[in-house]
Amino acid sequence: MAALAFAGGTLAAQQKGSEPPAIEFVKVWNDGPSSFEELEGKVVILDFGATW
Amino acid sequence: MSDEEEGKIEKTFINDLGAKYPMAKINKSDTQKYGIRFYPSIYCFAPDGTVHSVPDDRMPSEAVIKTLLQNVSLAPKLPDGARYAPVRSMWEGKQYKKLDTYLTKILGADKLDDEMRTVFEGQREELDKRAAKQVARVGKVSQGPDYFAAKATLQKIQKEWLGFEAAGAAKIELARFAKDRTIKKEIAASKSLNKLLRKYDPNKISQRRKLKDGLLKFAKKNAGTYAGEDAAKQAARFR
Repeated sequence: MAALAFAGGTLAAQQKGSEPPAIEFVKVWNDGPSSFEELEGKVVILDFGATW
Repeated sequence: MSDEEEGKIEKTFINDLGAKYPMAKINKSDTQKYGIRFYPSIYCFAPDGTVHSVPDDRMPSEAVIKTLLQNVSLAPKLPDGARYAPVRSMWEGKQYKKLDTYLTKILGADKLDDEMRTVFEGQREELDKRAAKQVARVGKVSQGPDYFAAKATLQKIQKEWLGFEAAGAAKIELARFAKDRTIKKEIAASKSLNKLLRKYDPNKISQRRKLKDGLLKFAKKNAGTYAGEDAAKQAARFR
């Protein structure tokens, strides 16, 4: 359990319980939020994806 | 979200994969701020604006996301302590009317120390803010074009925000949906499309062709509806 937590901590720049830095949405599709502030008060899953 | 080129995001995620969820193009600097080294990487934020989970070196699965969503607290920021437990519990249970009554009662009490008053006033402000957001949400989803999804959202708001302006507004919109012939047609078409999509498994080659033919037939029959357009778009994904 401790090892898992440690592994997570080393990979992520943000920590559990911290306030996440704002992200600028350059363009959104599918009725996405127009700004990071719009996510306030919601449960949010941020999925960073890439094509390959 | 992705920091790749807009055209690439749109082609891959929206057109080819048919993503229905919100997608965003972000800057590389934001990806770096979050320390992303593997794709996909998932963060989860709680409603109190804090990071609930950070990525690890495992591939995020549906089961992992489901667990995250089950464990995240729905309560806004609250100090620790048993005296705030009822408020926390009401947020967690989405008992907004009960919370509203509780806050009104407790804030009306004479013997309330300054710290508690500040905390409960903050909770009142948060509740009012979330209630107002639901009113705005009702207005937005009621405009369509996905009336089938809108109906489900309105029913949820009507149930969860009972006793608030949003629930009343949702009720009015649902009554309008039930009377409006065009909207009824849209909802029926979306229902049929969902049924068609459930019938075939696009991952099986033998069923993919049948699904494509079904979608094309559906798009023709339901031309001019949101579901018809959706079916046409989905059929175009199958080469």
